[in-house]
Amino acid sequence: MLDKLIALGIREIDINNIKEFINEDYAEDFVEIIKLLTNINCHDAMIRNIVVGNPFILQRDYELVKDLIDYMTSVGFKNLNLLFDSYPLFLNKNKFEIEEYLNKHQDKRREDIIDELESDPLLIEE
Amino acid sequence: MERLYNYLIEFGFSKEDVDRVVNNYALLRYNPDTLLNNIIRNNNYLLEVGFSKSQIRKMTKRLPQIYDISITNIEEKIAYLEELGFTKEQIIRMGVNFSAIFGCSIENINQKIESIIALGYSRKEVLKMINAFPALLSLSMENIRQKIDDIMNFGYSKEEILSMAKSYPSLLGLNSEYLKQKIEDLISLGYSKEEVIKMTRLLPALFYLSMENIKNKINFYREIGIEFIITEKTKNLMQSIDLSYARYQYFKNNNIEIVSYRPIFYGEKKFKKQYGVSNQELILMYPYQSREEEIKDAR
Repeated sequence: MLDKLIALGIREIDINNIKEFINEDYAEDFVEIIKLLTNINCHDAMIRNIVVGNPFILQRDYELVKDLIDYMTSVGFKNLNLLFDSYPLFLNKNKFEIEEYLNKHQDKRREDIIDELESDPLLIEE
Repeated sequence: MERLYNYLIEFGFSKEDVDRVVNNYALLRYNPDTLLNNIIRNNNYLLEVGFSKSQIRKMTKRLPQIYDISITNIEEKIAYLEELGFTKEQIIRMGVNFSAIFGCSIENINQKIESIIALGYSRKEVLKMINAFPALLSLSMENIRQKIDDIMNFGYSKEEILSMAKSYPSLLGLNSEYLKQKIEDLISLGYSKEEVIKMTRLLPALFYLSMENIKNKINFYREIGIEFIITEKTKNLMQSIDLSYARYQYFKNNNIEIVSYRPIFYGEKKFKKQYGVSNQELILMYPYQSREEEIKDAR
């Protein structure tokens, strides 16, 4: 896993700070998660920010992340790369939490809720 | 033993993982047939609950002892978590992210919840924190208290830390050195300790951005003369630098006078309505990466 972090260009000091999260059991998940992020147009600097800012991603289940991204794309999110770069912790959310958030704000138009969330991702924590 | 191996391989485990499971200290006392029965029984039950095969593999790879736990025990734990107010989906997510929850006794979970409440939270808040960060249950109270003390030493009050951790419980899962480094890095960018504490107190999410990212933003906002947003409108620091840069370049290249910093941080709908261009179009037109390369070349 370490080699993958180095290949992403993550600085040594950052690797040292997040090394306690490195767990080889999740190495395959991590590779697949990087592919998912690349597919939604996250470039290397964005991915570095996501990993260093949210080291919990190093122990995240790939399927849960895939479900999250697939769901968000299906309901109309168009700026997932910008959203995850803005708030890397968003990737720890799960599909059902987004569903719940959308349902909770049903009084608004779906596209408006998504627009609000994309410009202020911290709203998901409310 | 062969049947056991075949079953696990068929279930999708690698040879290495099979060895890890069958050689787990807690499972060595079973004869292969009994162990196979336990494994089939628990796998079927977990599938019924809603876990996928791959999630079961990951959970049991990390905690093979799950096959030493009776269905009744797992059922009781799930019923207990449901009683606390967690949904099936939340429980599945917890199990996947924090398999050890199935190894914890109900008494232990209860005790942990009570101890966290005693720090100054309501029960509802604690359950919300556990839902957002299930691994909170794996942290010892000594560890949590030590972390609070460490963060207090940086200059925050206990109330401020509890409030930050209420919204961002994973803060308690981060190493104190990691947080200290972030604070020192921000100070090294030219801010006083008080300013950094104010910024992170108002916006704990800053702890979840890399320093490379924060530095790029600060340098860019200084360059375009809106440095004040860093301490006064800190929330704007969350916006992706790719978007801020692209919007600024768009204004510059289209001779649009920048009378206020605000349009740089508009929601996409408002921006598109006013200027006719979407976020993704903008970041393709003016990629921040090319600026980074130019800066590198200039050096």
